[in-house]
Amino acid sequence: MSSVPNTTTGSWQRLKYVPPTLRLLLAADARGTILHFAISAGMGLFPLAEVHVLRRLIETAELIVAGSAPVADGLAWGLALALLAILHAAVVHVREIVDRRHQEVLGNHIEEHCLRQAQSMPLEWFEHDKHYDLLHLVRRRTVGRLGATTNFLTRSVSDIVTMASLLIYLGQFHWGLPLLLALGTTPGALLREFIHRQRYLMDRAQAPDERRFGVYIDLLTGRHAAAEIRLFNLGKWLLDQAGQLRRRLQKERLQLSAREARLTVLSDGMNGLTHIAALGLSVGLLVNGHISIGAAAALFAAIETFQITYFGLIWCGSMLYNSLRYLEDYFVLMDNPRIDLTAGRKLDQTLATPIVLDNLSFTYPGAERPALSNLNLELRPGERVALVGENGAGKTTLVKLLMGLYRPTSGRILVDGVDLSDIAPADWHRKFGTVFQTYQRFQTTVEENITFGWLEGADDKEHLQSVLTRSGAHEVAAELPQGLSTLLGKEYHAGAELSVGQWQKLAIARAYFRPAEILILDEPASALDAKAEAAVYQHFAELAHGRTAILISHRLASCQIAGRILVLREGRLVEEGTHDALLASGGEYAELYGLQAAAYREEAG
Amino acid sequence: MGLVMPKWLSEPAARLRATTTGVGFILGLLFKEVPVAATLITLQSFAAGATTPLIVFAISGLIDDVRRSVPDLTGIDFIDELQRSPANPTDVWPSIVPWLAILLVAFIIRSLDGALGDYLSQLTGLRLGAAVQHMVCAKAVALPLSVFEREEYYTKLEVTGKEGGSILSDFLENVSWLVTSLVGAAGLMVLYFRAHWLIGVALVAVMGLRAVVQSFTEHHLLEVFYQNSPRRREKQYWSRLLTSREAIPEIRLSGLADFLLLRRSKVFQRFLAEIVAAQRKVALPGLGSVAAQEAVAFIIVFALLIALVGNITLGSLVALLYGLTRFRDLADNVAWGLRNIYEELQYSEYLRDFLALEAETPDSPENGPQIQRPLREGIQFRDVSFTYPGAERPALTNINLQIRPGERIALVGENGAGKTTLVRLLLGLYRPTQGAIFVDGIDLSTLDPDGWRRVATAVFQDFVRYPTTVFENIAFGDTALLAASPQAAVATHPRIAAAAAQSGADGFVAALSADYATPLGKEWPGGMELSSGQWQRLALARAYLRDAQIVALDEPTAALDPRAEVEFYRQFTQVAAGRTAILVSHRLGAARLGDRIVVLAHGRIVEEGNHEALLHRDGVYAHMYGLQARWYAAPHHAEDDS
Repeated sequence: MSSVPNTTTGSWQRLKYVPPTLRLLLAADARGTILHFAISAGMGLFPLAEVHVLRRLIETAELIVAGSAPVADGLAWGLALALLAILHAAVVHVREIVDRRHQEVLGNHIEEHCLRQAQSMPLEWFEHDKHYDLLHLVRRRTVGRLGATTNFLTRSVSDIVTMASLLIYLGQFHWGLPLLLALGTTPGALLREFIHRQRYLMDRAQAPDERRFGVYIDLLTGRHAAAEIRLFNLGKWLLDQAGQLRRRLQKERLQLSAREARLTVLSDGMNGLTHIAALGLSVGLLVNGHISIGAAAALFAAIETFQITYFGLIWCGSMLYNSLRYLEDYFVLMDNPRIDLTAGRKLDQTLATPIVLDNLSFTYPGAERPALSNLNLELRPGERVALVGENGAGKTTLVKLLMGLYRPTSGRILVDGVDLSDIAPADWHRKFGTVFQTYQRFQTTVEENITFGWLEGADDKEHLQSVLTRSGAHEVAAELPQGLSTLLGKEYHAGAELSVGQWQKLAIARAYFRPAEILILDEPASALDAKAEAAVYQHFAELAHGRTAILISHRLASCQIAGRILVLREGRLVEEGTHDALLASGGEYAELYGLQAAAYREEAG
Repeated sequence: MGLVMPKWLSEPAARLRATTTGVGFILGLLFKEVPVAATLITLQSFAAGATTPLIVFAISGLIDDVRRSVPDLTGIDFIDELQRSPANPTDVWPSIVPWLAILLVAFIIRSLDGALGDYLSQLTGLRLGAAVQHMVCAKAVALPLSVFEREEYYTKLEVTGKEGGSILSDFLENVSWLVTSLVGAAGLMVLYFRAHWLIGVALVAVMGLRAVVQSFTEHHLLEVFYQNSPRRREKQYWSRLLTSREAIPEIRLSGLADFLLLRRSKVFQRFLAEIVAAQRKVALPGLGSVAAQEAVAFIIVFALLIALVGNITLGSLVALLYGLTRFRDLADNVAWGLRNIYEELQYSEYLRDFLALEAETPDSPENGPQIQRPLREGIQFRDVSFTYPGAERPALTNINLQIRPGERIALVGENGAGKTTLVRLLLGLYRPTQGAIFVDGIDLSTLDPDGWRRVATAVFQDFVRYPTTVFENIAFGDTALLAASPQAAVATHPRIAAAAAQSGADGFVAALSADYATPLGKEWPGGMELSSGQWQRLALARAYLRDAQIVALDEPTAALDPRAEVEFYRQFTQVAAGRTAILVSHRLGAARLGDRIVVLAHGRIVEEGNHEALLHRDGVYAHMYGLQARWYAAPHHAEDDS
């Protein structure tokens, strides 16, 4: 199923997102939303009050001039006007604080829920480039949009209040005034809706290029590629690429802007003409003696306010509708099927029977050829297995399937006779301690880099100490100024930086820290020095005692510690047996082993 | 840490200088990047500014004319007036029409201004955003590598917002807004000065007060913004991690998601609390200045009423009162404009601060010494020490090493011994904290770094997996190939193919859907993912592509399968032929490829010599070698260990 929103969603169909949007607002920040509404409704009354007080002030002034009212009356109205303005300013200030908080909270809410969603979607979801476009759109465009939605909603509430009050007021002078203003202002405001739609379509269309552009910027300014960029002098080329891409994106945006400008002239021009016509009408009323000068002055102000408010109201409506477009992306993302990691059969006991891989095949989404084909295999509890094969043979894919991170395209994995897909993923995951080939370098303390393997045991210092020694991570910590509590990485704090091998030691410690039944080490020694490498194999043998263990390694000597060696080639199992048996059989394994061993034979020097 | 924030109130002179520099910087940028738009915005702002007094003027005249022609019109309730019979209207229109015409002109100016303004502001926003981003990126690539070891760099980078240049683009808009409001206010002032000079003075004073308060407010808010940069980056870090294709499997397996989400959320809450606190703190002064403004407005109303006894016409009075409400709006506008301008100035300071980071340049840049090809004397480390910025202990201590041209050096040692650092120093990516490196007798720090690196090539241990095509991943080794026109034509460039064959990448590349044109990374349309070993072969191909004098290979076989590893060793002899080669490896069998093996421990050279000599010496190397070799020497069964 496609998770990318459909641009052809009917205009009215999109309105179905109104209730979920309101629910979302209340769920994210109920207090802020309600406060926002209350303040805005209150603020809607200010323009009318101001117009009224002004009018009374002028009328009183006229009376004072005529000598028929005391100056004090005028002062009273003047004071009222000032107080009103101060009150207005105070409310604006409060709203600003409420609003800032509200915006931040809403933006955070959406982002957090996207992240949460990402945590429970099948990993296959992350194999589609279009899905990254959707994530990009939501995080770049929708996150800020929800906050604005409240603004538009509340603003339209206050605008409606203002407009209703002014409507009555204007109607008192002449019924034609509000009608004229409304008719003259509507087309211009509706033009905006057209513009909004164009903008949204452009945001969607540009999403992949924007992501690509972000990659260039990250390469140029980030730490990771800095050394290579300098060595290979790539800066200029990357800058050029980024520049070309930016120019193209910019050109499209500017073309749209030019079209918008033409439409705006049209819409503003109509508004201006309408305004003049309304003024003419009021002057007519004045000249014909229908209204006083004070009333005329108030009327002028009211006309301006009415028109601005009316235009604003339609604009708000259009913006609200526009928000739905962006929120649709969010809802579509959230509608993706989730895996409930705790749903399924419980798996409390330790495994009693072999894990059976039954005719297992797997093809990555979008890939042409399978990564694994018709694999049949049994892994006995407590067995130590080594997985070898050329780069791209499917070793990492196999262990990812075994861990339940991907689901087989065909065939199945049986755990104590039960299909793995029926077992609660969280329970299954708990059984594994894994050193991933692309292990993470968490930008946090050394200690957390290890305890992240098993959060429940984070306080078990004794366990931590034993893991530190076994993994060689204690040597890493010993070199650092604050030992275990040293912060690592430079992304957001002045942390220490480790060498690749040191990071790998932490990753091994992390896997060891987990009280796992099955240990998976995916090229755990690729960056380790000889001593650490030897220690890993030694501890692997110790740790694996009583556990099922799978070692992926290109260092074939290490496979000797495994009870069984599996050789994969192009997604198929081609050889299987003990080190000695495989050497004796003279197959691929024996050949590869011979190649590697040659480097250590004295006569080869 | 970070920027030194000038004390706004205690150092007004310095502040003024900074402001002038900031304004100059932004204006310079604007008129360089978007000269036409910038000029138009300036002109337009004056035209738009003129409309407000024009409207006030027209309305005032309008009312006076109406009043003159309807002399008996007095201020009675309008309901009464509605019941009145109309006065003679025909005399009035001729004198009114010009006023309406003026109004019409004013509105037309406004509407054109609106449309053009929107367009111009988008144009400048995009252009300036691009220009600033380019400046930031160009600066970033020109910085010495050691800058990336400083947290300060990341704060400076973050507050420039990477694409935050569009903030600056609003500068003219805001100045124009400010000018419009000030011109409007000035027009009104003239009216008020005509009524009484004191009114004018009072209004000017009030505006000044608001301006001062506003800048204080903004300063405080921006300071909090700057200080919170690490928090924003931390939040961003966790967010990125939680959607990263690479990280999600490990996060899911370890059940880390909720924990990391919570941590991200905590950072956000702290950040939010600080922002809200800062806003609360500045709310009261802001409100105070508004109250002061209203108090003055009230006094003016009072004064006007007193003045009514004198000669002021009612028309003028109405206009003045209308003007007073306009003045309030204008004062708000001025405050708002100032606030934005202040923000932009501060931003420009961040940007200038970033751009002021010292670029990587040789000590004698102009016509500096040149490296001859091939090297004659080789490379010499003389008492070189290096400490990473911010680190406590040195990564390398008193390294003395002579590398002859054409020599093959194997660099071995434990994790964290300083091998990678030594290679990076050799490549001129870092500069020694102490001592110096000489190339053919020339101090490396006096050489043009780019020129020196052109002589070298390398595979880094932490090589980059560029999310670009296979072709580009390889061609990055020689940018000349990238520059060569259409990509399709060069995709099968013989040199690319040769490098791929040499690194063993050609096999799997041929199996990809679009060969060398295949984009890499599942995040991209048509993108394919490679295994770690395949990526490493691309990194090797990239390094081999370059015709270099010096080849540095840092753990080039870490992820390679045995066949590829052996193939690498075979190729190495060929690659190193006629070149100076440095091979960093934990595969001690490979170390034998070196003419000389250099053993590092804790940043010092502890052993040196060829394989046999070092084995004979029975030191660190012999021990490490023994550890690995025993696996291959004697059968070693799983059961033996249990």
